[in-house]
Amino acid sequence: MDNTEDIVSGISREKIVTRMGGNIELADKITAMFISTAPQYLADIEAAVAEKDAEQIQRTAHRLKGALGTLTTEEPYTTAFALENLGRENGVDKADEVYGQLRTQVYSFCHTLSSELKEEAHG
Amino acid sequence: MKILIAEDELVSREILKSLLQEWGHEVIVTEDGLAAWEVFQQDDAPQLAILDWNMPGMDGTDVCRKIRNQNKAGYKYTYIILLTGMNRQEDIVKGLSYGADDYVVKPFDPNELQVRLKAGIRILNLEHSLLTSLTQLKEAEELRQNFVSTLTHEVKTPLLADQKILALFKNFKETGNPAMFKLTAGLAKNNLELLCMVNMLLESCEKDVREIEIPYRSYSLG
Repeated sequence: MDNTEDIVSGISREKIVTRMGGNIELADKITAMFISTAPQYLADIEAAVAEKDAEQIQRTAHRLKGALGTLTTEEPYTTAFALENLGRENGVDKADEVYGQLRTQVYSFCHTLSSELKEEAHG
Repeated sequence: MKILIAEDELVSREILKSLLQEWGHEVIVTEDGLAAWEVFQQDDAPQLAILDWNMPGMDGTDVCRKIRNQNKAGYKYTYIILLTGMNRQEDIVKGLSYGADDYVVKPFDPNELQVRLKAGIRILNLEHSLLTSLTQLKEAEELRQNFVSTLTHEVKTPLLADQKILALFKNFKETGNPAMFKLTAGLAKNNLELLCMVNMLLESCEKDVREIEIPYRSYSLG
């Protein structure tokens, strides 16, 4: 995991628990699951961007957006959505730049989530 | 209630499965449209499905159309909720036109999904009550028609015999017994009227309610 600066604001465990219908156990399970699957989802997008495959960019970004949407509707969710739309509109030339932003945001997001989980474990 | 979910994305699938189980449902988990469609071809297929739109192999909307077009014996209605990140108005219109009963946009609010599920279960229960009533109505109608048919045949046979006997007395007119002639003519007339009524009853038995088709076999999405 990258040691990127925490640029994600407004993420709190309470919000995630609320999104899981108040189920704390589920919130923690899903958070851990997202942290472990995000790198593969990013790798899939990266491969699609490298191949300039618009359909795959759309599909893989859509999948990451779906996973992110279970936890937040702010960044990096909005960035994943933007990348998905780029794929849909065949905007492969801009995809590399947006993917770079997305990657940074996702790792930062995961870093924040990990910290939240650790705090909870020690708290 | 037994509910099928079709979702290719791991995290979303896990949330959905966990929430549904928490709400007391039996969950059948599939990871793509093809696997979901295979489940729906089984005899004990669930009557409620939550389908993602974009999935490898077969999209959720393709599963929708296949379910609506199937026409197998004993088929029960399947209530379908499309749960998807496709959030444009045209997507919603398209999704529902493919045969989905409801449409929930991701990321979803668990409370909203729960009440929408309850609405779906309510509709399935109403449909089940309707089909049960229709089956009972058909059974009752069959009993009634069997009764009428048996009764009319039982009545018709002696009436026909009486007609033949009464015909023997038509020579009373010639033998000079007008009172007996009048009596037998009246009996013959009554007998004929009864026979007409019996024939009408028998005809009515042929146009029966048993011809009513159980609805919800297949659906036109045109």
